[in-house]
Amino acid sequence: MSRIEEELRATFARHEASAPAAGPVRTKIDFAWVRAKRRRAWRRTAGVAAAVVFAGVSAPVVLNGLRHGGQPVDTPAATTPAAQGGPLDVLLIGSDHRTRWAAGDQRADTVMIVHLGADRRHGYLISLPRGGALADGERLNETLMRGTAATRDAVENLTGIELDATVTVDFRALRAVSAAVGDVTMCVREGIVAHSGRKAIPPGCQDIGPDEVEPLLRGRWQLPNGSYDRDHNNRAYFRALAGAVMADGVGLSELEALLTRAGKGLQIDGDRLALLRVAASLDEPQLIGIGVTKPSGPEGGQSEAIYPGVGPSLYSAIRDDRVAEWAAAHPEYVDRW
Amino acid sequence: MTVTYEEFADSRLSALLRYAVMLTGDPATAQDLVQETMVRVQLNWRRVARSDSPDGYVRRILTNQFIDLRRGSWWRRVLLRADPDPAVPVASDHADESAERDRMWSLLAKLPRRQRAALVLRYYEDLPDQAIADILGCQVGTVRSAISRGLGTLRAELVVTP
Repeated sequence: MSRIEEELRATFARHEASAPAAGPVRTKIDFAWVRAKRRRAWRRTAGVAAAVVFAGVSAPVVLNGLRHGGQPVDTPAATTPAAQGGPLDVLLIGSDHRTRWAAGDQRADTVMIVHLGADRRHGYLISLPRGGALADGERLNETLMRGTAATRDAVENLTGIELDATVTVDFRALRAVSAAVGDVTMCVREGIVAHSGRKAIPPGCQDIGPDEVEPLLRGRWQLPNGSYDRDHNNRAYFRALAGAVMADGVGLSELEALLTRAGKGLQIDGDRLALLRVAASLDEPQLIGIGVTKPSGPEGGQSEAIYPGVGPSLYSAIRDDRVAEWAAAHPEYVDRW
Repeated sequence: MTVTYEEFADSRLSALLRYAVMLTGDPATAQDLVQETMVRVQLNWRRVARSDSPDGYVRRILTNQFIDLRRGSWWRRVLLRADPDPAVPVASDHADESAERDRMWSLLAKLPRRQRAALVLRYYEDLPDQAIADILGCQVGTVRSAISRGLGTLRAELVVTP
């Protein structure tokens, strides 16, 4: 060893003694941790509210930088069946909107009906294929170019379901939610290849954090069933996200505070108060994903049918709050993982 | 059976503090660095515990904070505070003789942070090149050149100002 190396070792060794004692530092870390947890508890509350939305249980997302414009629509009183203890149906739209795009330039990557049964014990995430053809030939995802109300109307016309609210989120929102909630563990069956600058997601069970959310939820290239597999990944992620945070619980006053702070960052259309009441009353419902697993025809074609054959029975099951029965009779549409 | 945060802190905190002192050259800054790191570690404990080497993972977080976050808020404050005299004299019973011996310590403070980290990991932690590369997130070759450049600078300085 050279002289310089020896001196270096000796210097380090000599300064070992100046290291602070662990005990007091440990105490300081614990204090700092308590403060950090308090900060996180607040962010987490925001995350809970968001996850609750995604999980179909309603309530607002509070995130900076959402650019959907438009304040939440205020309605004076909770008069809907949902607010009075009936089933709740929320339309969840995952928009591919980017801030640099023009206001109307967005399509729906994900369209999901979130149905919460009157028993509040079961929630269903029911995907509608984004490429699904509507009666007038328009594709479901393109309705969003005319605004969320157009997508809501399209879904109501298709299904006959009266939606209690529509929640629209984009990927920045999801990223922020993910950052607020922290990593959630989820199992990915088919790996997702790197595409369009998004990183790859390997198959297998893993932690999904802010950096993984967008690649996971957008990825459909080279998935065996394209956007159907992606819809499945979306359902699985939202279930995992909700599961990770709902255990913490969230109170009505916290949700109201979130709503006040939401400002223009939020697009939620519907009876906010009803949503808040339902969200605050939840006690970890079991979440079940429902979706078509394989395209009925060539993907991207105009003729893609939405729940071919079983659609009417599914929609009436949602309307009558009998989704559990329907799921039992149609296990091939129910997510197993 | 994964290690809990409590167990980890009980067994590793002292070593992390010593490591941070070697990196920063200053006990107070080292304490800030470790504190910041450990809060972060706790926030992400599941991920840390599940990694192959929790200790290595934490060292990586700490080292990255040291190297990368100098533009960040707290680190900037620390740096600005320390800037006029980066060589902080060590408290010692032998102040007179340590003044001379601590020239090495002062010189270390002038090295680029990555080089200093590489030297600490090699000559204080006695880690092999590959382990150092893992912590610094770079190639083995980069580690070797960082160490040799660091040593070169120290050697030159010590010769110039004996």
